[in-house]
Amino acid sequence: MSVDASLLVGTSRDARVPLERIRNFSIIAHIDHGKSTLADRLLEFTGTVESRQMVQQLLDSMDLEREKGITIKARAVRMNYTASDGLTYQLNLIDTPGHVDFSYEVSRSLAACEGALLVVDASQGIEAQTLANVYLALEQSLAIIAVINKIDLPGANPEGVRQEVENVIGLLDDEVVLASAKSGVGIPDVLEAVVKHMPAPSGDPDAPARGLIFDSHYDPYKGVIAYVKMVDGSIRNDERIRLMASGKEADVLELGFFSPDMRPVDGLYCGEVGYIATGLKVVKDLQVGDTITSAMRPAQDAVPGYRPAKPMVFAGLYPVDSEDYPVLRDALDRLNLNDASLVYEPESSAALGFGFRAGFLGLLHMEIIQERLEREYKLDLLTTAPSVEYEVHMRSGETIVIDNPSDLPDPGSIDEILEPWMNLTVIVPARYIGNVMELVTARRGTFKEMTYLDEDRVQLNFEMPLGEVIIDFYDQLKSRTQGYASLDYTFKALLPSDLVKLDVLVNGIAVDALSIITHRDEAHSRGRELVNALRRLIPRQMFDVPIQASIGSRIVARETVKAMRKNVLAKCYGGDISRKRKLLEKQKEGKARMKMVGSVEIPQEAFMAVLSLNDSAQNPKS
Amino acid sequence: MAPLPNDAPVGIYLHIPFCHHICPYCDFNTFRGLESLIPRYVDALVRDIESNGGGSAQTIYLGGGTPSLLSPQQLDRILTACRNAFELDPVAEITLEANPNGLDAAWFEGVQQVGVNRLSIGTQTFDRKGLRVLGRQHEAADAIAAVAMARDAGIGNLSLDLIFGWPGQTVDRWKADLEQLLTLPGGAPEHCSLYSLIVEPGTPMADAVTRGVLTVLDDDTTADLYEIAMDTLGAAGWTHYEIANFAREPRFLGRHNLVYWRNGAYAAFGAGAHGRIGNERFMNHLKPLTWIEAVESGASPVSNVEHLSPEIQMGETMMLGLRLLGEGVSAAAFATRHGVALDERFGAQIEELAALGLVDWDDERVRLTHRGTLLANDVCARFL
Repeated sequence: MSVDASLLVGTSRDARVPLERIRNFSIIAHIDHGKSTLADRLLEFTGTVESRQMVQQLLDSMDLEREKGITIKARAVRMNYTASDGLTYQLNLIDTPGHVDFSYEVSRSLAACEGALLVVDASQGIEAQTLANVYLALEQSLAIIAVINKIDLPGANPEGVRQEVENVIGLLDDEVVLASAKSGVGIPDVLEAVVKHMPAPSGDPDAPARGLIFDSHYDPYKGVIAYVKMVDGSIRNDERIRLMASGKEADVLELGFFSPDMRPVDGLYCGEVGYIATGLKVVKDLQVGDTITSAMRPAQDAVPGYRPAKPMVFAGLYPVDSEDYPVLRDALDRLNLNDASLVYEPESSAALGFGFRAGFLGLLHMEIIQERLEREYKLDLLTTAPSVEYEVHMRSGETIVIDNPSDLPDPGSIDEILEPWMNLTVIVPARYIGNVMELVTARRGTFKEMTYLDEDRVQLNFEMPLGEVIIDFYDQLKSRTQGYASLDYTFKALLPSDLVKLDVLVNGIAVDALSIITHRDEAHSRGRELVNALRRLIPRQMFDVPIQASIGSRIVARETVKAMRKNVLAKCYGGDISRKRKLLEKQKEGKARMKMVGSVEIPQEAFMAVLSLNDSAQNPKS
Repeated sequence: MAPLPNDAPVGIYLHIPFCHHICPYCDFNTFRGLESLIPRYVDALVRDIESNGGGSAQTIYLGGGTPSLLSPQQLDRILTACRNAFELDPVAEITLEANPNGLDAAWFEGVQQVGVNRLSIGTQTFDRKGLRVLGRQHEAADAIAAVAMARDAGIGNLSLDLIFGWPGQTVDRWKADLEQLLTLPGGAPEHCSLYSLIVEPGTPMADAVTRGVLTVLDDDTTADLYEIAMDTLGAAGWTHYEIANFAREPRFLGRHNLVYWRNGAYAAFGAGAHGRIGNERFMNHLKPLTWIEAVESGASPVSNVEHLSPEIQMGETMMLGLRLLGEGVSAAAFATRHGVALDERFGAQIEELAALGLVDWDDERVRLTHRGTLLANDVCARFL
């Protein structure tokens, strides 16, 4: 048989299996609940990877992902599994990002699946983000199988968690599998459940091709590689394709699947999941959610659900050394090749010089980009406090959109300011309800609804301005619930608010990069907290440095960094003058890492001071 | 006058890297438990001085470690080697660092007889609590007795080291230390060095601070202590001639250390000793045995050489010279030494610092102001 022969040499083969023997599924799990370990076991058990070749947690290939314990970019791996009915199935495991910043990417990955494995830690129960993703999956009519994991750990309560899963999602008994991915317990049961309870894809093999792009990444040799699910029809490796949203066309250079390395094939067929390389150079041309069709025989309608990436959080990125500006620009260009959701444009600040205003999906996305710039491009970066996008309705009738507080026009010319509000979901043990309520209301949030998930755990729904969410909200939520709370949020609407711009003057000079937009009622207390935080963060200089917060021309708060009194090496170094000199040189270098604003040295942390306001209010000068 | 011209006589530094006990704050090059190496070490010193010494010299300084572990006979051999190798000024200052404990009258008489004319006594504090915090092995009475024995032996120039800013020190405890210094039986010493405690990384004290066992004083309190010392010694008529150094009368300035501050040349012998001759700074092997073996085998005991560019030399002249509070850096001496006018090279920095009230500049010399003295690191760093 020709198929067997090509299997032996392991080169390209026509991987076509009947549609009814394909299962496409993803794994939904909270951080640390064991998603990667479960994926590893599935790959091992199906012989896709041999265990001794296994790089621990193969699916998370970026260092950053491993360090943060989250998956940033989706991957799709094909496994062949011979089930108890004697038939061999093609299982495509589609990995999803595990963080609220990437909920759109999650929704596209789920749209490529017919089923999902919900992994829940047997001692922790369901978390807010997990539940949010389960609801996304339910909306897309995915079959769900719950895997209650880590059942062999002390403190595990599989029956209690099973009860919770049944209460919240209403799964049947045989749709719940007890497992310990770490020790391999329950893995065959998981695979059997996938084959038995998840439906096969339902597309039309003869219709014009429609491939849903659920992820993409830039490969230096092959250009942008799109991860696609063939919803209808098929695409051959010698075809010309068209992107239905962007309108771009390109020739297929290569297509295939991951198992787990790239395996080129002749065609991708209806229901299958794989990759397409086209030589297109920019991820923006192959955006997640877009539909690939045949240029010769295009489909009528795209797969629904496409949405261009929309950044929600904005911040200024400035090189500490202004000579690094071109390096920063190149680095952003490169990251952008692989990350269409990162947007940026040049910006200049009176205080910080030349830099970029960058937009991110959320705070985590921002943190990841910042870390990659510093780590991979060795940049010494200064990041300003994050801001959201405001819609400003002018008296003149004009509407402008700003994402940098210092761009807010003169209040006299403004009719109304709109800011983004979010729907928040918090899941927390009942004993912390009071703490969470207190925190949310202090941040202008309003309570909507409370649902008991079981006798102890509660789901709270709120509405809150995004501008309040991005200022240290998550850390505060965690610290007020001893780490138990989990959080998810989605965009609700742009709503008018009574907002004002709070400016900060350091040594009499307005520092644009320190301006914030805040609600009028909170402006005074924010101003006091901010100058207080800055007083602690700005090192003592050779002279007194006044720090003031103002609304318009009115000073609302003032602190002084007292002049430094003593900094002298009154120590005996014998004749070791080099050492003395090097100590002073090192001290001088430390200063070079700060930004000179006027004649004042301001350290990097000061520009993020707004994020630590609540800390500073609680812990006076240390 | 700072800086010294290139042809000034050199200072000689001799390092004795042995201690019976290492103090918890100390990060100097010294070793415990290697005292049995001392005879070989002295032989090697003599050999190295005789083969590599030369030129005219004005001072000798034996530092450590604990140079007072040497016997008068061992010191005699070392000093004789110096006199043989160098043209030593007949009134050269010969200083020996001494720990207050474990010494008797005979030792003081002995060292006086072999030519030591100045003792620097590692007192650190007269405060019992302070001595324990600093891990010293002596009591206040030992220091007082050492001073008396030195005086009885006829050593007319004594310097006491005191440390301020140790964990738990208060203004009153520091005032008591200064009072004790000025009213020692037999009279105040001729000189004192007041060092502010620096908790150096890697020392046992730094560990204790990290673990929260000890708490260092904050900069403002340390600044208070420093100013109290300036006021107290100033009122007693002393000269505050260098950031950490005070002399009872101008004739008692520490001449060896002046060579450093005036960016002069100095020869250096012994493990871990640092020297500067010409345009080079050098450092010897740190470990006593490595250094001894190098000397014994006729190899170079030098482990590191740093070439000093004219730029670095000018920066060092400022960094060092500004520490001399009365003398400062002389424009004329600077031009002689470096061949560049002071205001041409550093005019901008000097103007800026003068505007901040940190230095005085009268076209002849630049000096730290009182505030500049407290902020000397920032001032000096501007010139590097």
